[in-house]
Amino acid sequence: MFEFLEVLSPGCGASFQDAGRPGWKRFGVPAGGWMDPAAAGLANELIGNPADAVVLELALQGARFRVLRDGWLGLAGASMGWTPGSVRVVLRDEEISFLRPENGVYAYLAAPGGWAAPQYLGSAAVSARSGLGRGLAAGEVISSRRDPTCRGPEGAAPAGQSVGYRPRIEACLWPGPQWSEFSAAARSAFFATEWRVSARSDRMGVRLEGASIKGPGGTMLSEPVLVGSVQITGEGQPVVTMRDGPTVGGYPKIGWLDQAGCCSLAQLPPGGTVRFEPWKK
Amino acid sequence: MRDWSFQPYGPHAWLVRFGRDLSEETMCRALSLARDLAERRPEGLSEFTMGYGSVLLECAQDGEGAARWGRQVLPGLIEAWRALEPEAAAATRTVEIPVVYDGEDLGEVARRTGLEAGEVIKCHSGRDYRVWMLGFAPGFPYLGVLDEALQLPRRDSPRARIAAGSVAMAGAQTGIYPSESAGGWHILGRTARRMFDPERAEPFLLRPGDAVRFVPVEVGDV
Repeated sequence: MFEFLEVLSPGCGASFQDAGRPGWKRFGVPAGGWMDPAAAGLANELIGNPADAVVLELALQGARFRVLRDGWLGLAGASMGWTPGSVRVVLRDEEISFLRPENGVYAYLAAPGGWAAPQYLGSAAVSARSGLGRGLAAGEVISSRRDPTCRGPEGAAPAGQSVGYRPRIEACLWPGPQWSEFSAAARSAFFATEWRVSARSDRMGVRLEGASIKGPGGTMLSEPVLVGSVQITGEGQPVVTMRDGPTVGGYPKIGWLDQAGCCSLAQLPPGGTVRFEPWKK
Repeated sequence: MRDWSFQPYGPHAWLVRFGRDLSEETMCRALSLARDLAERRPEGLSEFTMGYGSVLLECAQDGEGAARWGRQVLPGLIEAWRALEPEAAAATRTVEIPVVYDGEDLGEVARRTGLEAGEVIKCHSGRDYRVWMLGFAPGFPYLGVLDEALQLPRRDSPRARIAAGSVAMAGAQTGIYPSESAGGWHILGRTARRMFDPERAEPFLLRPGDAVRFVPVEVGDV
């Protein structure tokens, strides 16, 4: 282990993430893991890490660190004042800042060999709601598993692969388990609305505002929920289940987003908008 | 396939339903199905999640492989599950949960059910419940079935914060919040027993099929 960075400020939330912990949902444990797997994978690839190495996920408001030794960092995801999709040399005693993103929400920071992080149920993915680890705090020192000056055997992926997240997106909606129980009027209202991401969105769920969708009515037995499910709450507001969301719930699910849709939605900042298009057979 | 149905949930998952009520029959089916899935994981299945009368099956493959699994493997599995012997109605293990019944909704529950607070406590702690499944949050036990005299719909406005260890009820269900969480159930009391601790050799205190008995205690006894 190589002490690499000291956390000066964790910003809006900085936590270790990996591919998550599948296989525990029947105990109520969500799989968790990186909110944007594509960006996290790119951060690892840039620095020559294995695809499943632990990365640092920064959310929304950036973070500040002091560099404790010279080394490389791979950066991908939201643009927080650095070029996403790039590799940076950082020098001992340097102070590095990640600013509020110009676009996107989650940024990923990869260190050579991955970050050294405690494992819970077979994964380092932090999920505060689940009682699995906690976010980083100011004053903490974090370490890379390899000498930070040594990039991996694969070398760096070509830089400049920034996705360039947009503030307005379209996403494909698959039918959810209660799709056919929503009225035709409710379904067309859902597709007609340009939905706005609420500031009350997090790793558990993205809340959408813009209209009120009438649910099927009646009470539902609690049933399993997939990540990506678009649930309609009692107040008619859509909540899209994200990585740390509940594994079981009682709200009707009008639809479901695949992983690409979830990634785009995760990277949509509060105030960003999404329109849904029906799936094609 | 009477009483059993299934529907796709995205291109690589299926929701199978086997009961639409909180009856003992549905619970016994759920328990035997969960046991069977845990012991003999069908080929091609990456993960399963139980609901009261439903189970979510996720296929390990994507695309055409998953579609084929849904067409060719799933119907046969359901046929086999229908023939499963339902889990015995009696539990093999009883877990006692000491509870301080001083929850913030105790008064409202008493008012709305027309009972005295003491009667609510007596009624809630006066029967054994079964752990139907774990879900929602790590180690959260969905317990059934609550005495009809206590059954109330969930709160109109969910609380943003419910403390870890809260013992709560909604509809015919009662349960224990393992960690701080949002939630719309009525809070009757609290326990110091930890439902989930990833550092423990047995991270989950309760297992599906366990019987749970709530034991009223005074503050000092927790």
